[in-house]
Amino acid sequence: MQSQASVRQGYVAGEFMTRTYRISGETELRGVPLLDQLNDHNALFLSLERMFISPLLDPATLTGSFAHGEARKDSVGIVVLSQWRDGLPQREGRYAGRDHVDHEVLIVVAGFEVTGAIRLHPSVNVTNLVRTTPEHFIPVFDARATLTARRNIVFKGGAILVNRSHIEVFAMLKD
Amino acid sequence: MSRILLIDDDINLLQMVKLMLERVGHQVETAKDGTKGLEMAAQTQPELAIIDVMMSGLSGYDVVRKLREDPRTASLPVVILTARSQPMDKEMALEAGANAFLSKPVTAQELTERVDAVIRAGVHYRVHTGLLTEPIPRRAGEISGVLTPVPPPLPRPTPPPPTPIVRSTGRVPIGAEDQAQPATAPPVQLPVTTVISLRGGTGCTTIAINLALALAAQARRICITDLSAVGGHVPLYLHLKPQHSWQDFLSQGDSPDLHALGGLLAQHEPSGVAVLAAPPRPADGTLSAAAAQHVLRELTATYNPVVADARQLDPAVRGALQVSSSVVVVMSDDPPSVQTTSQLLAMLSAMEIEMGRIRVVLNHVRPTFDVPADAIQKALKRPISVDVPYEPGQPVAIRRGTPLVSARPDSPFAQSIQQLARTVVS
Repeated sequence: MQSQASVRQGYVAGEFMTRTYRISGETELRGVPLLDQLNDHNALFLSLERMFISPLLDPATLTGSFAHGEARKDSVGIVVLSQWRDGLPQREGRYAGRDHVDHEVLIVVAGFEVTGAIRLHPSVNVTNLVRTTPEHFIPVFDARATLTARRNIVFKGGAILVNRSHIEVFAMLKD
Repeated sequence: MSRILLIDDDINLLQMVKLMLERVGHQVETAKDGTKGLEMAAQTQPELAIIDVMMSGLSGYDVVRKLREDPRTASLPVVILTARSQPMDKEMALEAGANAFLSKPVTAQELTERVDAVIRAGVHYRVHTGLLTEPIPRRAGEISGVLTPVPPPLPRPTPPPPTPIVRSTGRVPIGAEDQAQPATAPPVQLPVTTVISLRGGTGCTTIAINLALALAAQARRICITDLSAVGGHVPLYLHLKPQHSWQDFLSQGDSPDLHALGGLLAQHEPSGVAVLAAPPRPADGTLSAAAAQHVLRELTATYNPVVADARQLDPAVRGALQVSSSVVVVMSDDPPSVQTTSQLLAMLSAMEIEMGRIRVVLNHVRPTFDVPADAIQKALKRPISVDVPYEPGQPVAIRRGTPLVSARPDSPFAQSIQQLARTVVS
């Protein structure tokens, strides 16, 4: 296997978008994937390391950097991850598998228009999943998020984790 | 081996990248923050800096800007390596003055290839994914679409200087030089640039003519030789009506009498380019390889370089390719052209023409895009040297006999040809 200069071993880097900020940071996994950490109902905050903050409307400008920080999970609208595998839960079979099919979706959430694919087993109805799953965050793969207020600001990722409680509109692009 | 300065506040990543670069022979110095990195850059004058964006204190963007402001480090090529990998981050890095942008995670191969490409290209070029390179615009907002070649990865042995030819007579017996060398010696390279495409409609002749005129604009004496055996169009493009062509040599076998060569050339007065035309109709035969080399050898006594327009792979073209110091392979972005170019490159390789001599030019002959440049490069397994943009004024230029490189030297098309010209003579 080819060596990679990556973020630190055991960490995953992501872009955590609130309504006003772009927060880049690394989360220590400790054997628990990021999606499961976000969906852990017992913790209100998510610990981040090497945290860098930019205003959402000027997302390339760094306005603050902190070695450690805490992000309140219910304030995070979406999380952009570069690698799709980083968006999988511990039980990968839920969102990845040989028989799984992609459902192209549009989700309006936290000021973003997110398009991409929700990957599910054919026996699972995607609309029902979004409406009824007890989990806060669901992954949208090969996704892009366009900031509605400034359409030239676009984030792309192998996976975007969408906070269901911030969803304003959910629609299937193809049936 | 190059001296590289690595600036990152993540110790683990610092060690990992250092190891990757040292493994391929680079000498790496490290700095744990931007301030220390700026000091080291000024003191040690490295050949390249790799800088992380997200650092406490000075950010990577700040470090690049300060490097550019300091005359001691202004010409230091910079690669930005960051976990922030969104398009706006890349734009920000390049605007700050970086020469390349890499997002984490990066593989050792990707890192070393990009580092080598940036070092070769220098501070005035940006190196993108696929090692495509473009000159950095002089003014903000002035972005050129010109893609320029990354020089070959390894230093090539300098080709042997051309064997002195007794030009006073102009009639060295054909094969005399070859006989003086061992049978296995490669043909002596001449200042000849052969522009070739085996697929019609790729704009090969257009590129050849514009290249010749771009070279002539550098105060060079240029001759363009139309080696087409199926009816050449070079005179048409230049509004010339030559009375002679290389067909006049056909009856003379491998030893054409070159006394009258000067008289066979037509002259394009506005540019001063001389033209050895092809027969206007498909020729009865073609020059042998030896005869073609002999003609080119004679022409290079007066013209430097000679540009040969080739659209088939007959003996004359094979002869020209063997003595050419550079070969420009022209292709368009449609799948048949990609396939033909791939096969042509394989044939050139079989002819033992070093890949370092070959430049692949992607000529957009249609306003629409078909196969993306990245995919073409992957298919060909080599970089596209120059990406020539679509030029809607091309048909008018042909009708008027005024190639665009002369008529509209500031157009993106002309700039890309000028870039090609710089490449083939460098």
